[in-house]
Amino acid sequence: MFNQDITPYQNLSILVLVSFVLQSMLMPIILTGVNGPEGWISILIAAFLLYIAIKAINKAMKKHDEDTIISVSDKLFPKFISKFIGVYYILMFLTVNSLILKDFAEQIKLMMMFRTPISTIIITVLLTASYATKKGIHSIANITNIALLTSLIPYLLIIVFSTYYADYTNIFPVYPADVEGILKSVPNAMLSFLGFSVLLFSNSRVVTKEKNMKINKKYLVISSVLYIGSYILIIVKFGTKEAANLVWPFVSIMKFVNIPGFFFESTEIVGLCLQIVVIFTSICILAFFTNLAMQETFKTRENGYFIFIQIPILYLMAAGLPGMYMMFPYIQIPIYIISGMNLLIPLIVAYAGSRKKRSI
Amino acid sequence: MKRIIISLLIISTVFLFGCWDSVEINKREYLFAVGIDKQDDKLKFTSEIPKINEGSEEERLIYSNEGKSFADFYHLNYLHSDKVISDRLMQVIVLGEELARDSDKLKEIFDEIQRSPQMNRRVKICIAKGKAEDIINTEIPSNPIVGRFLSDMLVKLKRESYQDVFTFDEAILHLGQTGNAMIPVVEVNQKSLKIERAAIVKEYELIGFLETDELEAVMLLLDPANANIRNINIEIDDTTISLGAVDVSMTDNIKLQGEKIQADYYVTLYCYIDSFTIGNNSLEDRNFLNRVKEESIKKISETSTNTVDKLKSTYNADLLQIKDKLYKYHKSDYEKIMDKYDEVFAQADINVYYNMEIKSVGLIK
Amino acid sequence: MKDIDLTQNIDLDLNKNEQILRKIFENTDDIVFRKLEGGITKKLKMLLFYVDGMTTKEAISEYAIEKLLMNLDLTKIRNTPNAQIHDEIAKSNIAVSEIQILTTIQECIDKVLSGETVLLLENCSKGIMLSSRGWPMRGVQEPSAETLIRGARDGFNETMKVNISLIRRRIRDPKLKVKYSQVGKRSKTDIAVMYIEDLVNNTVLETVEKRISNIEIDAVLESSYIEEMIEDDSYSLFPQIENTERPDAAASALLEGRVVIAIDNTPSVLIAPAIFVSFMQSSEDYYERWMPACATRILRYIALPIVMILPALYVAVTQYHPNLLPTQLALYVAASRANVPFPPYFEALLMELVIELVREASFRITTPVGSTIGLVGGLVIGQSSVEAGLITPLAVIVVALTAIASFTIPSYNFGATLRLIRFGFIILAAIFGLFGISIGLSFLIIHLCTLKSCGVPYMTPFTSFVENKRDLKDTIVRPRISKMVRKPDYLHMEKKERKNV
Repeated sequence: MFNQDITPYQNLSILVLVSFVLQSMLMPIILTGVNGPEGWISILIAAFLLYIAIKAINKAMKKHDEDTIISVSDKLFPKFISKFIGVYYILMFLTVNSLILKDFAEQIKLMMMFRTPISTIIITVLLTASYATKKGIHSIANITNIALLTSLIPYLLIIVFSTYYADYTNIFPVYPADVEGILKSVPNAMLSFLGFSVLLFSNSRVVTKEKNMKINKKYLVISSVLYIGSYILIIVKFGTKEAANLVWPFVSIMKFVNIPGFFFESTEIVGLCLQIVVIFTSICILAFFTNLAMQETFKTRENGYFIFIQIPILYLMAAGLPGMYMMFPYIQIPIYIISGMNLLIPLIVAYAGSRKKRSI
Repeated sequence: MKRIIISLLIISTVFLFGCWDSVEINKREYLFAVGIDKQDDKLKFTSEIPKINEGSEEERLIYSNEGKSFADFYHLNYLHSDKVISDRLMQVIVLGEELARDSDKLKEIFDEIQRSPQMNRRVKICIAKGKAEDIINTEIPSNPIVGRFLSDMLVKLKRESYQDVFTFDEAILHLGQTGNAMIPVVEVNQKSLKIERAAIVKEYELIGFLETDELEAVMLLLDPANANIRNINIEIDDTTISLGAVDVSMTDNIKLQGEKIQADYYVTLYCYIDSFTIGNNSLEDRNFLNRVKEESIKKISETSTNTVDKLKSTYNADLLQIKDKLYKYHKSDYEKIMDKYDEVFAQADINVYYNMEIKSVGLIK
Repeated sequence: MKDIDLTQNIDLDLNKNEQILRKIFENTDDIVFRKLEGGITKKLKMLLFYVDGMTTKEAISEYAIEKLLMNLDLTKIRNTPNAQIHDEIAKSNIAVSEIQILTTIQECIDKVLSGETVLLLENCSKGIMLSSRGWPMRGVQEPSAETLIRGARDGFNETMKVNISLIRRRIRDPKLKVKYSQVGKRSKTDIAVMYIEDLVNNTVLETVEKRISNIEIDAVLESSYIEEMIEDDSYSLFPQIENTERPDAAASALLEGRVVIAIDNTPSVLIAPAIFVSFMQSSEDYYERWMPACATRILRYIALPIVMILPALYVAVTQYHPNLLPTQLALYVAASRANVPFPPYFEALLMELVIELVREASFRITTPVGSTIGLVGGLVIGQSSVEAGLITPLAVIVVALTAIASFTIPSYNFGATLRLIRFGFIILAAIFGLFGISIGLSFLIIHLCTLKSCGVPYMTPFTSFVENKRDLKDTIVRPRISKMVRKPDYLHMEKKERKNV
């Protein structure tokens, strides 16, 4: 409590929350990728693959449990490789963060503030997020837990009420499944588990590191349950065809929330308000881990000040990028590359680490 | 110091920007109902806006304009009014009959509603017999705001399962899944409005109407748990007997045999006697009751068969959602006939078998 | 004035000492110097001095002066060397319970100014302090700000020693430690840091003691001075130290392992660390039956967002998102706003200002008139401004509801903070609508999460709700007393059980 590290379960909430945001953003890819309501099989496969990877990585990293992936590779590999890994993670986090930011700003603009310029929304969010990011991982972990309690859980609870209008038979047919589509969607689903990349950094900041393996496994279970749950919720409400047609299935499903006695007419705005806090927290988390990656790559003592480098980059990327929903046709190959890298880099590092241990 | 700089930055952004979207609640005009009619190659929008006044009496304004789309209509209205028009409280969209028969126009309208972030997908929808304009212009003495009247009525009908569809969302989901939907039909009824029938919309085109008893027969098969069956009146030995159904249970068996759809519905009705005649004690007689059953089953079977035949041959509209069930439970079979479903459906063998149990005869024997 | 070296030792020459003291207390007429010549047979010159009004004169004249004049037999102690005269006198001839030997002038002055009497002797370089504190003080009365329906009626008063005794009466444990110190260059205010030795978290205790010793200030007139000097972030709107007028609340804080700071001249004590949940708790929660107490707590947590964001929500809904309202209500609000000349945010700010004015006015005036002001303000202003078409009835309802909800927050400090935040939310809502409120909430969450009280995160136990799940029991609900066997985890104490201590 009095030290600056995070507790295991705070680590868990960071991983779950950041994954949930990306999952809800990438949901349309899974929905369109599979022809039929069996997309959850892709998610299961992806989660299983990551489960094996996490086991291997945690075992190999046991010796280096004070280090993030970058500082481990610094010890194992020549300098340029570790620098490359560092730069890769920085770029990856920055891109994902700016995509989330853009998508989020776009949603707010369309649903709540039609005439407000999108740059204003982005700037406001970024500045507020920077305040949190500078405070370090302990504050970020605290914020995540509070956001989890005050926003994510109510949000999920509210969304469940949308099943009032649902047609449960929509989860059929399961067989015969679209095997090709399912396999093709596995990398997409894998990318949505962004916590897998974050844990390579956050595990080293946990107080009781013995629990890391257990927590990481728990994360995968909780996160895939959330993912599959929300997938099925959307399928059940809209059916496969209409769901694939939606740009933001999560926002659309909020329109159907029907809580007895809930007097708000347009429920999607209430949902959006809760979502703002959730997404906002995940932006803080990603910005912090970008900071950390920058610190490790460039070997500086402090990391708080990197946020001032990040703000303009994030702003320009978010303002410049066309937004996830416009990029769906072009995004498939980059997704394969990124999710491949995300899986392979830690595995290679883990393999090298375990070999070195044996040779000693 | 850093704290001060950051808070100054945030405060300055807050004060430099903002307020673009601020329109006070009393400076807006809320569309409650919109009627859309086809006029040559344009659309005529007739909208109803409740007048904002503090008294308890309710008044309304009616704007009508021609335009290509909703956006056009809003734009024109913007130029014609002192207030900002807002569709966020829209209750009902009424489509004119002529418009509903034009599938291209209907697709445009549906697309615009679906695409709009402001318009709620849960807006209620119905098709006007005749012109939608007349529906909106009807002065109902008891509830002067037509939008509210229709909205409340549609909610009630859906809850009691008199109609299959009541919101735009349901209509678009049904049209997407099976290509067919039953949309309520609203008609002028002297100084009020009535919704008795349903329009059959196939591939975004109005192809015909279902009468009240036909609609009931279809709803019985679609949603047996909530189905509402009007009294069954039969005549035995010159006495009229009226039966009401309290409960309905149904099992269905849909499969593909070769290239022929075989759909069997087994419906059990649990009935009670509504009215008979005083002084006649025949109801104590088991045989008499059996006769009553037979007669009533014959009567409803007739309606069902007629309706199903009408759906198959006249309209070729799969309102029973057999296509959807085939897809969900027999996907491999479905894929075989997917491309020529309409032909297969026209040839389908659909049977409805009724069974009846008389549960109670009321408070007297 | 020529500086006198106060650290010098007491001189052997009584006259010289007297001169120095008279010089120091020049123009100070409430200092009484009393020269005596004590002893039955042989006389010894003595000087007795004290502050008039801060001492119990009876004690001095009856038990000190009388004895010295009548009973002092110098022949008996003739043999002892000069340096030890004071010892002998102190041992045998003074019937005062508390005695202390002083060596420097500074000590003498300090003691005298805190109400003690000092006795100096001829040919002796030591002074004797005779305990004689006693001044007019308020009795133990019912605390005015924290009244309860059920629970003890005694409250702290302005005398620290009385306050400490009130706490000690509740915890008769030798492990209850009281450490005195003085703060304030001029005021020399007595401060007592209290804790239970085997319950307190040492990090917290050290932090508190270090911060108190680092205080540099000329005078401490109220506990708030200390509070501001030892809190973690004085820029924050949120109070990070709790204060209470109730001895039972202080005792319960001690039993939880927290540190209590009693300050002289202040009818309340400070409690550190104070976290978010502690401001939402009232002692009465534990005295009522647990189920109604639970309901009350939940009610308070419902009141919390109402106080903060209800007026902002009104602004956001009427200016940006009327579609949030049910259609009937939206039309009604639109109709009632038709003739109001102000925009909603101005309306809300205006009404909130009026409410704050009424509140402040009724605080400044004596109680019976105060409540009248409240009535007049609430009824007349609200009613007539609606009739005049200045504001809408809904705005009045919203503002009144907010005001009522704000009174349910048990801590006055905390309530004041929430009321202030409300204005920020109104402005944010006026500029960005609901998005502004969400951003404000996010900012608030960040701020609360970075805030600490003596090293303990402010939002504990919510920030680590899995690890500290036991602490969660006593937050939004109030468990049965028998279920609260464990002490709060967040303080990391050695002894965790409430039972079997």
